[in-house]
Amino acid sequence: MLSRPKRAHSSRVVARLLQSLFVVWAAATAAFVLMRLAPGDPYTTRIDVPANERAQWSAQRGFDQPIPVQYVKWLRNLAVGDFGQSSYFKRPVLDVLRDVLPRTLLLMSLALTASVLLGMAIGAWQGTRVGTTGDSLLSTGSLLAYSVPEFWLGILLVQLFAQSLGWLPASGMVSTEYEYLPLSARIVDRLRHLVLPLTALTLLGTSLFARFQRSSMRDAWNEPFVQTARAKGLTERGVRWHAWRTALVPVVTMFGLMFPSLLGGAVFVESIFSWPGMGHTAVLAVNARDYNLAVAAVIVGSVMTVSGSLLADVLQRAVDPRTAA
Amino acid sequence: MTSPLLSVSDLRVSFQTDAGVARAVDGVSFTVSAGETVGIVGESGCGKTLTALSLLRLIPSGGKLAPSSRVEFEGADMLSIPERELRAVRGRRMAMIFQEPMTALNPVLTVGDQVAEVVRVHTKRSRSEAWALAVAMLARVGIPDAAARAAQYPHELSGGMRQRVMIAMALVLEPALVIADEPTTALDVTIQAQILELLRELRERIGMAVLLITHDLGVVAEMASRVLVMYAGEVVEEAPVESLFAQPIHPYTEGLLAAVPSLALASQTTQERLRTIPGTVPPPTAWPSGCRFRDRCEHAWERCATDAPALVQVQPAHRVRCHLVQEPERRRT
Amino acid sequence: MSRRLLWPLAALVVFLIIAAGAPWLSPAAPNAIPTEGIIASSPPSAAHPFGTDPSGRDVLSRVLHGTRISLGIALLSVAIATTVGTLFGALSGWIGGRLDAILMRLLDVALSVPRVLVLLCVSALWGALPLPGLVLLLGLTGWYDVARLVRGDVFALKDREFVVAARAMGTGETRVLWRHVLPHIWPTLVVTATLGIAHTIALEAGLSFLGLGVQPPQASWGSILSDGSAMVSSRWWITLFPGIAIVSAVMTCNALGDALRETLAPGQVAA
Repeated sequence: MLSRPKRAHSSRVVARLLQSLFVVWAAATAAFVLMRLAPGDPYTTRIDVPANERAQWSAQRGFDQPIPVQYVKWLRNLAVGDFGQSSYFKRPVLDVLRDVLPRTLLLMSLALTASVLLGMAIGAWQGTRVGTTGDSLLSTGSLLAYSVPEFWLGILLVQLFAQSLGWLPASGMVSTEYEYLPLSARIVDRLRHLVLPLTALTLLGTSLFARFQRSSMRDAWNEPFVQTARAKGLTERGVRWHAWRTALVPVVTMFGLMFPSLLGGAVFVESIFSWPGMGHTAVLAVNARDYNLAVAAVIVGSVMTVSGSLLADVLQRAVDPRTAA
Repeated sequence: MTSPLLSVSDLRVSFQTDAGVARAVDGVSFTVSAGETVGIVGESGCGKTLTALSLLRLIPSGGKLAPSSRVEFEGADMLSIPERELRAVRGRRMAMIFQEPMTALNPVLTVGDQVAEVVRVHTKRSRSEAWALAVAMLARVGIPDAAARAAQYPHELSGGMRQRVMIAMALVLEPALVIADEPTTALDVTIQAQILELLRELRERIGMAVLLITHDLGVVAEMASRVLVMYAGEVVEEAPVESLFAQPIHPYTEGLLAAVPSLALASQTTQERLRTIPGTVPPPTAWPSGCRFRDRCEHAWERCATDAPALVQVQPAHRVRCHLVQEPERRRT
Repeated sequence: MSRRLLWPLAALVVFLIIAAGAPWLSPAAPNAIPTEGIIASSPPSAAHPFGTDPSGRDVLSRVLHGTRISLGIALLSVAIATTVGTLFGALSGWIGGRLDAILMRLLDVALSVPRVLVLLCVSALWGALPLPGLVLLLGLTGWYDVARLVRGDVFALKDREFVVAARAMGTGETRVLWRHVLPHIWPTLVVTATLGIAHTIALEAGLSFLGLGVQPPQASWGSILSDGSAMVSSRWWITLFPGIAIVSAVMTCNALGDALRETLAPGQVAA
C-alpha cells in the first residue's frame, strides 16, 4: 500500500469538509440543471391558468431568463438559505423543509437505531455459530427480510394490521382528534402511528446489519487472537467480546453508509403510510413539478448522504485504532 | 521422585474430514517436570502445534479427543475438569506464547489492556493495579518506555516488540508452565536471538517450565534440556538434548539434524553435502501402514511396511520408535 | 457444484421459463377485459386462480406476463450498468493519476444523491417513460458501485507481476488490460450484477407502484399492484400474488449472489 504523507489532523478535517461541500454543491447544480431541462413547468399541470397569466407568473419567478442567469441567481439565494418558493405548498421551501424534515429524521433515526441494535445482536450471535441450525434459520430469515421491498411490506402491514384487524392506524402521524386528546393519550396516539412505518423500515435495516455483522463476526471468530483470548483464561463471553470488538469496525462504517438507502426506503414507506415527511413530500413535489422543492429534496438527500459518510469516517476512526490518525 | 508438573499420556486428536478421519495427534505421551524445558520438533503437519493446543484444551472446532487421552497438570486432568477450573488454569498456571504476534494480539485493543486483562481475569486487582502490573511486566520483557508503549496498539509496534508483548501477556502471572509455539519463527533473525535470550532469562528468574514447539533444531539446542521428535502424529524419538545431537537413532531425527547447516558442519567431519529428507509428511488421513516414515526412509525394509514399530527405551532417558533398534545391521551406511 | 448454488440457479431457470413462456402458460391475455358480465375485481376462483383486478383482468395472467417485463427490465438495465461501470472503473483505475482523481470525485457526487430521488425526479418530470427509457434510466443510475469495485480491482492488479511482465514483453496497453486484467475481475462483476438484478427488480416494482415506472396497461409486478388499488383490504389477492413474485425473484437473485460470492470469492484478486 502507498504510504500517504502525514498531514496535520485539522487540515485533513478541513479538506474533508471542503470536499463534502463540493459534493453537495455539484449534486445541487446537477439537480438544478436537470429540472430546467425537464419539459414543462410548474404550470403544466394547471390547465385552469390562462396563457398570459402563466407567462406573467413565469416572468415573476424568472423562468423566462436564460438558464445561466437563473442559475447564478438561484445559487446566490441558496447561499443565504433561500431555497425559493414552493409552487405546490405556496410557501417558502425552507418552511416546508422545516416542517417535513424532522418527521423523516424521527422515522429514520428510530429505524436506524432499532436496525443496528437488532441486526448486530442477531448477526453477532450467528457469527460464532456458523453452520448450526439456528444460524441457517436466521440466515434464511434475514435473506427473506432483505428481499422484501419496503413498499410491499408496507402495503401488507396496512392490509393486515390496519384494515383487517384494525389494531393500528394506517396513515398519517396523528389521529384527526389528536388536538382534543389529553397528553398521555396523545403520546399513545403518536406511538401507534409510528409502529407500522417503523416496522416496514426496520425490517430491511435489521436484515442488512445482521447479514453484515454475521460475516464480520465470522471472520473475527476465526482470527488467532480469539484463541489467544481463550488461552488467557477468559470466559466464552469475554472471548466473544474480543471478537465482537474487531467485528464492530465494518458494521460501524456501514451505519453511516446506510443513510441514502434508508432515505430511499423512506420515500416508499412515507408514501404508503402518508407520513408527511421528506420522502412523501418529494413524491408530491416531482408530481406537481414543484422545481424548487424537488431540488431542495435532492440537496437534502445529498447532505444526508455526505454527512452519513462523514459519520462513517468518524465512527470508524473511533473504533479502529489502525485507521486513526 | 515427585510427580511431574505435566504428564501427557496417549493423547489422540482426530478430525472428521471429507477424505476420512485425520488422526492428527495419535498417541502422544511425555512429561515435563517443574522448571524443565522440553522441546518438541518436527516438520509442519506433524501434529506438534495441535499437541500444544490440546494441553490447554484449545482444540480447534471439529477436533475429537479420544477418551483414553490424559493431560495431567498440577494434579488435575485438563481434558476433563469443568470449564470454570480450566479457565482458572489458562493464563495463570499454564500460559501460551503464539507464533504470529501480529494476528495473535487483538488489533483494536491497546497492548497494555491485553496484558492487564490477564491480571483482571485471574486476580481481584483493580483496573489501575492491573495496568501498573502490566506496565511493569512490559518493562520486564525489555520494552523501552513501557508506560507509553502500553497505551499503543499492536500495529504501532515492531514485530519483535509485539512478540515481547505476547511474552509479557503469558508471563505476567508467572505461570508454572509456558507453552511457546514457534515463538521466533515470524521474526527477523537478529530479533530471534534477542527473544530466545529473553525467554531464557525469564525462565531462570520465574523458575517456570517451558514447552518449546519448533521446527528449528538450533532453537532446541539453545533452549531445551530434553527433546521430543514428532512425525506423523507420533513421537518417534525422545532424548536428552546432548544424546539426541550426539547419537540420533531414528532416521527421521538424523535427517532433521543433517538438514541444519551449522549442526551438519559441526557433527560431520567429512565434507558431506547438506542433506534434505526426500518427500513430504503424508496427509493425516492416510498414514502409511507399519512405520509412518518408511516411504521417506533410506533404510526401510519389508518389516517396516507390515509392522508398526513401538517406542522402545534404548538408554535410561532415550526412547526410539524404529525397527533399527532391534536390527541395527539393517542400517545402510 | 455446491447445493447453495444449485437451488437459486434452479429457481432462476424457472423464472426464465415463465418469462419466456408467459403467452403459452397464461390462461388469458394479460389485458383482456371480460366482454360480458360485470367488470369488477373478484377473489381467486377456479377460473381465475389469482383472482381478477378492478378492470376484471386475470391477475395470474398479468403476473406471468409481468415476469417478462420485470425480469427483462432488470436484466437489461443491469447489463447497461455493468458495461458502463466496468468501462468507467477500468479507465479510472488503469490510467490513474489526475483522471482517476477527477472521475472518483464525479462518482462521489453521483453517489451522494439517493438513487430513488433521481429516479423519482426523472421519471416524474419527463412524464410517462417508455420501456426503453426506463431501462436506460435504471441502467445509467445503477453503475456507480460497479465502477468503484472494478476500479479497486484494476488498481490492485495493475502492479502485479504478470501484468508488469506482459507490459515488459511489449504487449499493448489495451491488450494488457483486456487479456490480462479484465479476466480477473469477472467474479466481482458476476456477483455485483446478480445482486444488482435483485435490487433493480425491487426498485422497478416500487417505481411502478408509485405510477412512475412501467405505465398501464402494461403489466409488470409493480404496476399490477399499483393499478389494482392494492390498498383496499378486501382485495388482498392483488397485493399478495405479484408481491410473492417480486419477493421470490429478489430472493432468488440475492441467494444466487451470496452463493456466487462464496464460490468465486471476488475481491481476492490481490491474493
